[in-house]
Amino acid sequence: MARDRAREFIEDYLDRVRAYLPLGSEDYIIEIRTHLLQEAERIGNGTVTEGSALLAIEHMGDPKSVANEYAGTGKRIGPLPVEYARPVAALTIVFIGIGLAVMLGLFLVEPVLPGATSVFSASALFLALVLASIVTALVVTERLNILDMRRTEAERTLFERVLGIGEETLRKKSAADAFVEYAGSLIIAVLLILPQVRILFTATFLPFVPVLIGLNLFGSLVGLLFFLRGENNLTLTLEVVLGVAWIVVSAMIVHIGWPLRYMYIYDGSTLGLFDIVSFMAQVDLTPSPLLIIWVMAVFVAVASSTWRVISGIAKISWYMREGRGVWWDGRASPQVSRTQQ
Amino acid sequence: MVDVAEMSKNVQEEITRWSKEIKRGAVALAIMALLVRGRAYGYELVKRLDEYASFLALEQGTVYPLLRRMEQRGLLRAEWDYTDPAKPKKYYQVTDDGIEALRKMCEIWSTMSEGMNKIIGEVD
Repeated sequence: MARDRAREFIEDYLDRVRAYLPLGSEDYIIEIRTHLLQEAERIGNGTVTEGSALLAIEHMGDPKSVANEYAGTGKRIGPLPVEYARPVAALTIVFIGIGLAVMLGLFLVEPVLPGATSVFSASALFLALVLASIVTALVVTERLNILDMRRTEAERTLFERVLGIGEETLRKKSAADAFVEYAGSLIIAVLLILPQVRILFTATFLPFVPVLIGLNLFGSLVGLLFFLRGENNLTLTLEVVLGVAWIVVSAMIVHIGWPLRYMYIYDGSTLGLFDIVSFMAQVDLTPSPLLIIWVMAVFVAVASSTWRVISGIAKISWYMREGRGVWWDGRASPQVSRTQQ
Repeated sequence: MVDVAEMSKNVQEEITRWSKEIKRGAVALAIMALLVRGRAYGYELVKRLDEYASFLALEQGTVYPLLRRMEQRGLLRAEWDYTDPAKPKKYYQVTDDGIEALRKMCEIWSTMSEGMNKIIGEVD
């Protein structure tokens, strides 16, 4: 328990260092992590304790200084000190990515469910304006630094928390997430092959089932590669291809409408088929709740795929600038699950 | 040892600045000299520096950026060791160029310290 908390302190500190580092400085972070763990073990006589972790962090020093030692300091990119360039770039990519993901999702569902765009876009625009104003205010004025003056080396400052949002969002996929993607996609593909599942679909949707099986098998392969070797330019490229494929297929299937004709129900003795489409036709609601559910599902699929494509392309370009090649062991380092502090 | 606390602010600042400048070159030389004895990873090297070069009073965070720069300049070669996945280690060793540079650096250092000792020997 104490060890988990100690690891949390160290990971939190590393996030703060990372926030000020140039893009793609993960090797340095791994070195610092190993250093802090070993220093904490030395201080704790072979055991990493909360106290020894905090002392190791104190020995290492202020996160911004540690990052500046590595990356250099004093330079500015436009109005921004160079150490803020990375977190602001990450935040910008996140905002642009989310904005594009929402817009593309709405563009695809608008013809099927007219009016969806106006409801979503007004709230999305408002949210984007609020977020952009907050970030601009924080970055330009740096006022929050004043509130952070009494914090110790081990505490994350408010300023760093805000700047760290982009970094957190672009974090490497964990082995657990990769495994879930691998296993989840494989299970879905196998289920779609089963005749007992295929009979549930409408006649118009059925021709697309083999396409979905293919996409899920491909997704499973990508998940497996991420699990085995983590994030590198090959796995990221495959993920981008997968994302584009999902967007294209979503654009086609959204017009077909609700894909399930039947669902299984158990009446206490036997398992039978229930005709959902006929039932909903009797209810006669406009727009159909099934259509709304379908459109929302497609919207989520398109938005998340677009995000994958954008973040994947951004990461590939960072790694290419670093001259990292195509294939390397890019697994995320073991990290503890953190609680928000 | 100089007692910095008793100095005026101006002198303190000057000493701090000068110490940083003079240490920079010394640390690079010390790192190369320690690595030529055998490869080491970051933390190991920090501890060796603590043991053999405590007079440099190094801040721990300064060693890694130096290693990175020396690696980029081709003086060091690095290799990751994932034997302990929780604590991957980046091992550094001196390249042929590094060994050649180290020899030259040692010559320069000896000449300089010899000359400097003569000069500062005349200071009270």
